[in-house]
Amino acid sequence: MASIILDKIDFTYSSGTVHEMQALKNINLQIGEGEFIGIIGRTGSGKSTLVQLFNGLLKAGNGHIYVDGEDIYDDDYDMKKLRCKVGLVFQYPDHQLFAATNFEDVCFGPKNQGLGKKEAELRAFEALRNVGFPEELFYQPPFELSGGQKRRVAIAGVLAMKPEVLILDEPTAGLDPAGRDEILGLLSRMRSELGITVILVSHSMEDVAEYVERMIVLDNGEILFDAPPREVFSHHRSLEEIGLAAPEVAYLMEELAKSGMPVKPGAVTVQEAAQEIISAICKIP
Amino acid sequence: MIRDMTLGQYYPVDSVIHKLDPRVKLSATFIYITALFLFRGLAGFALVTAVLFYVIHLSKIPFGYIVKGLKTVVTLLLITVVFNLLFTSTGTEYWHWGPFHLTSTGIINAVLMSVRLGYLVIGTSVMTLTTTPNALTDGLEKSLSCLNRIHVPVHELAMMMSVALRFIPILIEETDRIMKAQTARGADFEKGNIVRRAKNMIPVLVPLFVSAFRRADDLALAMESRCYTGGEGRTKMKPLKYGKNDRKAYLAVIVFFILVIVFRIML
Amino acid sequence: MGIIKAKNVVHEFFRRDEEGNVEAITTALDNVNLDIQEGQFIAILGHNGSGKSTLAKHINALLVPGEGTLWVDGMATNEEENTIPVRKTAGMVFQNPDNQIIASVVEEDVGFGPENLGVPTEEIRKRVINSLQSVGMAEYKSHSPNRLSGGQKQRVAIAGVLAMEPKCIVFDEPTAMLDPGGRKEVIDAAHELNRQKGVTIILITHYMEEVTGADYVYVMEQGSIIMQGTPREIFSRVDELKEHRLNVPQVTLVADELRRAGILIPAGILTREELVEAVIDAYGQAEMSTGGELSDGINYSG
Repeated sequence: MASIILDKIDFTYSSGTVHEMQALKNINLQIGEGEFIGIIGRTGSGKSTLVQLFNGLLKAGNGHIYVDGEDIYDDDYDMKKLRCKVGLVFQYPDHQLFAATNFEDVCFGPKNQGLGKKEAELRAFEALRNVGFPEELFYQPPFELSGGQKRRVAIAGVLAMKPEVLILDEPTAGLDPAGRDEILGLLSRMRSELGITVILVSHSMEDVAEYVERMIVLDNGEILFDAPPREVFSHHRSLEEIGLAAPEVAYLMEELAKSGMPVKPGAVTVQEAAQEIISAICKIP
Repeated sequence: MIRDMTLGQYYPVDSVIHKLDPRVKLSATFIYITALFLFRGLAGFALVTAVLFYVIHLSKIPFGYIVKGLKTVVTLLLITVVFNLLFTSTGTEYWHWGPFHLTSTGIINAVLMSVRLGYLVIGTSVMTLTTTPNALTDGLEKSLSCLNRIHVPVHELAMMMSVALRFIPILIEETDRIMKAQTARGADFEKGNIVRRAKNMIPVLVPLFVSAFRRADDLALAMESRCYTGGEGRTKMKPLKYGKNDRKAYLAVIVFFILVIVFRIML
Repeated sequence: MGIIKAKNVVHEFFRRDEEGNVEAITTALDNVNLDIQEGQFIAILGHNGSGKSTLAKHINALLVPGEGTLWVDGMATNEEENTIPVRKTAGMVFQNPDNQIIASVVEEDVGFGPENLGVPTEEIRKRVINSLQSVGMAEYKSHSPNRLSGGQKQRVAIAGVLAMEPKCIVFDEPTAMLDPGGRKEVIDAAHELNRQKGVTIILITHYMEEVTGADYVYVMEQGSIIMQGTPREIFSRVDELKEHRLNVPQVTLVADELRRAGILIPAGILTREELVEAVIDAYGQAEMSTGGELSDGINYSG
């Protein structure tokens, strides 16, 4: 399994022109095997830039990235191998679906890896099954699918390359709540079943809070917090300052605690919050 | 990358050139291009250069920004230069090998052609950089409105052009994103011969077309919902009217053109 | 009659094969009845594919009913001479901020609607400035839309509709493609128009949080209206909402859990403030009822 280390990474867009914009400043980061991470930040915080560095789509201006101990900026480093190891699913599935059928589309990645037809098809089959894509739709064109199903095919398209790290940029954008829960549940399941590292990029704290174990909050190209969700949410004042919001329950518990109720602030989910309030009220006698 | 393309992108600053009537800028550009192919001799060259740089100065657009627009035509420029250099056989010959020659005329032609093409691109960029696409199409629509009489749908064409100009940067950015998404799936756009490369573009072109059609659909709906029914009965928020500066500009353009012709005949 | 009234509206989409024979029929709207009064803020909730966007297009006469009638300010949308007056009365803001901005400069885009209506030049300029001011985008009037954020683009789109001086604006999932900051910008702008100018707002969304400020809510599924009422009424039916797989705001869910545990919390809690107050009340009461015993205990030990 793969580990990724970022060492003093800087990244600047359109360097040396009028539109110059520094997107990332001095990023130091270590991502271990099998982690479930959420990268959170508002639009323009540098989160999308960061994940494109992970698989070499963008190259940092300064600093080094080590994947499994190898410097990916070494001259003889095999970028193609890196892209198989670190899979990246972009925000809009429409940007990658192109083939006549869903099945063919998922075969695209494995074929690019140089696998034979049979092997590629086997991989595609397995990947589509892993994302819970209904078999009767395998040979339908991808363009007529619902948003949620398109997303599944897009994820399968990357999964078929057997990545050790799966990164998803805004995997729930444009989905309704039901579709969102399905996709996040799926990723959580895949992570435990397949044992891969999963990294979610999102602007919504509430969406990912229930699922991830570690949250990296980016603001203005810098890492502001890197901790478990519970700990991150306890800083909700500073989250607000950078235009992010902690889940409603975090605020609720804080206000209750302030009003003199003996509850612990820092709840992340509805169940936790309700449990905390119930036990506070029942403890009175 | 392709995102650096300046051609056709409006650069919002306040300048004399920005404020000119688009019809003036259109005809001035047209005349300037003609002049580029008419001028002769050092004096002519000095004149077209001086005018170009003076206009850029007046437009308040940073020079570097305009030059960047040249990048997109560098290949075309190089091909022209090479052709002129190698395939001109008149003039003093310095070197030759098979069908290739290097002659004094060839060198002069190459220099002339690159100046012409370079100035042409810069000149038109100055126009598009200082004129909003809408003003530009308004200008075209008004200048060409006489064609309406022979049933050319001038308004519709102008509208199509202005919509196209609005969506070019969006589609360029989208192409960039699609290429990245496919690269992440192991696609390679730089390997192989021309046929192979063209085939490799399919995974980019299909999503791009699908998206462009969807955008066109959405846009048509949005225009309809805002009561668009074609050119008839429309009024203008910024109707074109000539001002004092426009008349001065026309005069300047005419003087410039006469000078170019005079230089061509006299010198 | 209200400003928008729908009576038994049915809309079917036909999918045809290559020879033009009908292959499949999808019923997007199934006997929809609506009565919306002028000045109201209405929310229509539902999943993707519930028919809510089809309904929005009917209000703007972009689609007309297959059966039944829809009136906008008394004008039946299926009569062709009403099309333009209907669109002028009920404007529409779409989901994708990029695909509804026509011009390359903000103010020119806002002027597009009035230009189409043949409004005189001076009047257009006035309307453009006023509309941009109402959505707080006046300082961007000569910018290119390409460099604006999603929320800003949507506000420009709102200004574009506003410049046509409509009585009603339909927002068709205006926040689906925005980040939380942009979402708030757009919803705040909609409320502002409703309050300040009395514009009737119909907000179509799948975000529950955006519904809490509405006067009345319709919930749609499979082309039918399955629930309707004030937000408080709707949110007191948590089980039903969950059954339809609709997201319920976190505070409403916490309140619901507490009620299930037997704690006295009123139904239909919508905001954090309400819940904090209710919980503190419940806690206070629990303390009161056991307070005596507690002080006794202290006495003994003392």
